[in-house]
Amino acid sequence: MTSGPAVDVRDLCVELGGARLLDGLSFSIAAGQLHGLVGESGSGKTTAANALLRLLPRGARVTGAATVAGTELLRLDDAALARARGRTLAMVPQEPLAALNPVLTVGSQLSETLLVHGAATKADAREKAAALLEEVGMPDPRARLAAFPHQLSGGMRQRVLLAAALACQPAFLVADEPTTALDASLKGVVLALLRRLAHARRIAVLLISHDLPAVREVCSDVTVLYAGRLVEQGPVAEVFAHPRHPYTHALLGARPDPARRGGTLEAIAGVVPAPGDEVPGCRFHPRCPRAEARCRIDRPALSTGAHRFACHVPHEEAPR
Amino acid sequence: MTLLAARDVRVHYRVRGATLEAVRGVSLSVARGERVGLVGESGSGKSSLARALLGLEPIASGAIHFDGQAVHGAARALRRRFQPVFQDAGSALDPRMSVGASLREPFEIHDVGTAVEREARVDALLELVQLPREVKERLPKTLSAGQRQRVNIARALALEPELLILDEPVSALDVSVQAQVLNLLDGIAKARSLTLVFISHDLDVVAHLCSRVAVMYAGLVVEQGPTATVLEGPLHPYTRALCAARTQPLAATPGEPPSPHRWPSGCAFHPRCPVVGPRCATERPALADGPHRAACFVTDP
Repeated sequence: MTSGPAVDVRDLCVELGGARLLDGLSFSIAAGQLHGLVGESGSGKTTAANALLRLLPRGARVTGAATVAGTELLRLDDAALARARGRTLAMVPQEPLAALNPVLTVGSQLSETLLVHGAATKADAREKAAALLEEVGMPDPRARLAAFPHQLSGGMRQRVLLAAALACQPAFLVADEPTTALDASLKGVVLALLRRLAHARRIAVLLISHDLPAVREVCSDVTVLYAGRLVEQGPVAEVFAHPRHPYTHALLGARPDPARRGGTLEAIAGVVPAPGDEVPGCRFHPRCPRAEARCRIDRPALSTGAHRFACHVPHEEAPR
Repeated sequence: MTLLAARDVRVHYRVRGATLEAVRGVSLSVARGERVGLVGESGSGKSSLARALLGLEPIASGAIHFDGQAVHGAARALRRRFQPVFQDAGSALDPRMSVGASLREPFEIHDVGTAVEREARVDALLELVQLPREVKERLPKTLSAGQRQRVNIARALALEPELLILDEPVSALDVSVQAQVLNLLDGIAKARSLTLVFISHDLDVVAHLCSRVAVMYAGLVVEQGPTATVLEGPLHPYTRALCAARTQPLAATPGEPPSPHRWPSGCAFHPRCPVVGPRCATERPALADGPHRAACFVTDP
């Protein structure tokens, strides 16, 4: 076991069809920690996930580095990638129903995963599949092996996918909006489960979400993306309590506040620029209430330190 | 004065020969100028109820009246007085019709004004929802999701209805755009003294916009009351769980929402309820009349 971070991503950039979808994403995650990646649609968060999972179309140009437990993901050839999937990296997708095969039972889908990766033999695959379901808190796990996906509720389907992702002890798990399709009363259960499994199995988790309260609750660190660029990054407690970038600030103010009813919400004027739209300087400047002349010309650099941001006119630092 | 009154409404669907009871006896009255939020998870029956309130879904029993007249089979003159806004802003618009044509259509159907007057009304609607006039020539797919929902709101407002029934109108939008659309709705509702029935799974959004809230679970309203009162002192154990989840995202309600194909007996929440009593599994608690009541034997006997 190395002492460095389990996952280290440096200056990840993605270009597709002439458009720069992701422009310089860096982050690292220690084993057993959860890192939140937040942003609105068009921010590049799913592009980042697909780049790390090597699921982008062939025409995509990916640069940068992504090391997971000593393996450089971005340079693996097809054979090495097939070996790395499941063991080095795994994913939990957003739409559990779309990710499961509707005509195969849960048991056969989990057993297949275990067999393909050599994590079980034909003799013990079902037994191991049941153990996985039990670990993700599936009620009556043995009986569920015979169930088809349509016979399960949304929460149970998400547990099956989590079980499949865990099957081969991955070092790095990418969870792309794992609770978005779930009901309010189930979200907490799945998030708590994700956190417990990450801690217990020492998995580094990238939690992609637009659900800010969820990220605040389960992640140790957070990265905020806007229109393909990293705008703010740091420990969750600091970023949420004292956001420095005006976009993060606005995003936190745009949600109705449970403690305060009525009034006008702090909406962010305008819309996220489309991928490929040229916006000189800071890409947030056309919507930014604090924008100055230089914001329209110079791209702000990412500051240094544990709590980083890319802004010429940041909000006040936290009082010491 | 009651503008919309639903009494013991049931909505049933036939699914592979069996009857699925999506709404199992809901009564709701909405006063003129009031904003009522309907909160519930998927499968709770809130969208079926919304469609029934609009007269779009036949009801198995009960009655729904708008300003004293039945909404089912209502004449055009009545129907134009209440209008829907749906969640999926894209599919609610005809993809081959320009925004201008979509906005002109209500005037054509209801034979309102001359061609010149209609054009002026369309311009006024776009101004109301803060969209530039240029979007008239554009097709829905060239607009952002937030802009499309503004077009839907404009279209719903075209015939100057008194009531809007909005089914998850901001759920598909990004947080920053959600805030824009909520502010817009709030402003228009105030300016036009609109009555709103606002359906959402998001308690925070409902709390922000609505003065009264009705919580649905398993096809029934389990609690209703003034928003502030309900949120500060929820009575029903299910509402309590929903409220806890707002401030503690990891708060877990045991079990899963029930399936509409087979509702639990008695109080449908009893298999998940932390304060379940002896009667809960066999008898269904009723929702009493009153400013803030819950259908619960234990917390609101």
